[in-house]
Amino acid sequence: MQLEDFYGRLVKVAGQENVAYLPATAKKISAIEITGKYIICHRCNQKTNKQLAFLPNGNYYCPQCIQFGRLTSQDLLYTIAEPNRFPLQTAPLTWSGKLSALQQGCAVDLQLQTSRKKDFLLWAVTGAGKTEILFPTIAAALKRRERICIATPRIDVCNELYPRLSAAFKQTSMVLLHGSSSMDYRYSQIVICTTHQLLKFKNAFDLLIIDEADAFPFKGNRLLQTAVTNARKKISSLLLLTATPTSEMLRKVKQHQLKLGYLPLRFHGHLLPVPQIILLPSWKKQLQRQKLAQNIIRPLQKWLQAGWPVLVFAPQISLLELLKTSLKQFTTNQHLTTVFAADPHRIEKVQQMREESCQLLITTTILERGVTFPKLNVLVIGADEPVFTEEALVQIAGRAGRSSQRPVGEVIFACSMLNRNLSRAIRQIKFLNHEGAKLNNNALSKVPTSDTK
Amino acid sequence: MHCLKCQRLIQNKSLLKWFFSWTPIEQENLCAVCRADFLSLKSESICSGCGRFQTTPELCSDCHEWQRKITGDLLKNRALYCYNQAMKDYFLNYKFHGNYQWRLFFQSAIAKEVGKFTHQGWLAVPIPISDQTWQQRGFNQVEGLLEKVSFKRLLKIKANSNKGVQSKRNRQQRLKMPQPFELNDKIQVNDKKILLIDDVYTTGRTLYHARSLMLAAGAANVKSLTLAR
Repeated sequence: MQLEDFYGRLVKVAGQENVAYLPATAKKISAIEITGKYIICHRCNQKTNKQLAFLPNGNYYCPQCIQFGRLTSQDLLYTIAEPNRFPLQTAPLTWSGKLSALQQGCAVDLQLQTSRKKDFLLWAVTGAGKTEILFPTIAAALKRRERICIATPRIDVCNELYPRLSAAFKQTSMVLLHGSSSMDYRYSQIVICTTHQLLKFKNAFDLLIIDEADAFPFKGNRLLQTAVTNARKKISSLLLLTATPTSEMLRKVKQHQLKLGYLPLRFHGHLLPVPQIILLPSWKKQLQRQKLAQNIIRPLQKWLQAGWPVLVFAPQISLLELLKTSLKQFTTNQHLTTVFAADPHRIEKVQQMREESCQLLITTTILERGVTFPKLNVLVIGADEPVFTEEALVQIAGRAGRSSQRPVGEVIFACSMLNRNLSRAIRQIKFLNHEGAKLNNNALSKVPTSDTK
Repeated sequence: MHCLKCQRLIQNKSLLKWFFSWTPIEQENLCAVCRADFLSLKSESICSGCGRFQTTPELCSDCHEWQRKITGDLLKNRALYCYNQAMKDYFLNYKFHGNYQWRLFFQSAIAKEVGKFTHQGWLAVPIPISDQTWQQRGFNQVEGLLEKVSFKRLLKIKANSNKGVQSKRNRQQRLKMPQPFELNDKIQVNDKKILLIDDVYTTGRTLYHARSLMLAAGAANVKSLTLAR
């Protein structure tokens, strides 16, 4: 093992392994601490009852972070403090695009707060161009020779971020880490990973960015929250990006622990599409008979004839096939398919949708965020089911109208009845549109029109 | 209680029925969705010699082969589950990644099945693992499954038996493997009915080695029970 692998990382070394090559500065931690009734794992910092963690040979192991390799009370963890051994860069940003006036305002604020090592929440609507807003901040941090991590709970989002960032920062060393990534760990200045991978780092990052910070499984997961606190340096800044902040984040904003940046307008300056609600009291029964009501068939047929791609969301995997067969009767179009989390062809199908070789994709909440299909229209069936939370509905509605070729899209929520999640989601979209419209008017009066994209 | 496999909350259904049954709460460790991935084997559709999943209860080709090789009855192995993808994942996690918590999943199913034998005077004997594996893994995977059952450690691995992990050998190499076990106490076996217990029946070589040792020490009858086939 190389010395570089220990920088800002927690590396497991079995008790009998020779570690003479490590310098005296390397810190040794025993992997499992045994207290009275509990054991504490020093990788994931979780307490486990001894009864759930014992092994018959007298040792203990941590069952909570076992997916990264088992740690037993025989193991040791070594770490070397992050030395920030990176080349000095004067112009790290190799991106030629330009930010809109609104994005620029947000980016300047962000850059200022991160240089002061403050925590920041960027609340930007879906499709606001969050990644691009980050570029000046990342560039400034690279100039300071800082180590940066962009973590997100979703593998799809990781995979989408990596090519975009490596195109924007061509000279910077970068690595993509997640459970099914083909890349091995190597010491690099930018790390793009899933939030689970943060468990392997210790006091490593000067700037830690969490994209989609409200998504499952990061939201409300204590293990991952502590992973974040451990992975960043003592003096560092944490940046949360989201389109639908949780109440906990907003509480921290009120307590002045988090600075808030706010972007209620998309990069193309258009407002979010407001979902239309269609009541279908017995859609489940109709679907069992492979039928669908005319008032959702009609708009669907209209969309398909116009040649727009359509994303249909269903609350359960078991409904996907039923929907597929019933939709096939009403459309002559054969380019429709289904995709769900455990689908072996998931990535190819999403790619087909992107290339427009498939026009209608039926899916579950897995595609609620992080994917962009141009010119899209969205239909949610059973929008009042509990899987569609307020955040999920806002995100789903945000799939439409993301490209500047077709900045308006249509969104239909079909439900058997109106519920709290639905009305709150629509209220949130309308609130953001209200704020956005105000900004739009201001921006138009202040900045010359040629600058606003 | 959360499912130990997928971390989802386990919904406890039929509470009223449980209430009037006057039995203690049985702690579920696996949710219904995860449990449905494991295919449990019914006696009408398995090979009567090794417990393999097939359409008819006749002997499979492997068992015909064993019948030629050995003298006396076949093991009449009973397997609880089919060795499908879910079971492979289970053993990967439990045995090789060493997640000892996962022993809890099938304990009650095994206890029920072993109970049927021990009531009729059978003696449960788990297949042992080598000292080296024990140190590395920290537990014996078969004994982990048998926490709710009383058993006797009658077998042990010979000190000079060849090293290496079984699962890394192919079928031919496995079938040529020499006797790896010896008995701790010969007197205890004499005239007893022995139920050998292992985690997986793959070629049957391990269990037939244990069987021949038991018969040589004077066991009256030897059968076997495995978690998967």
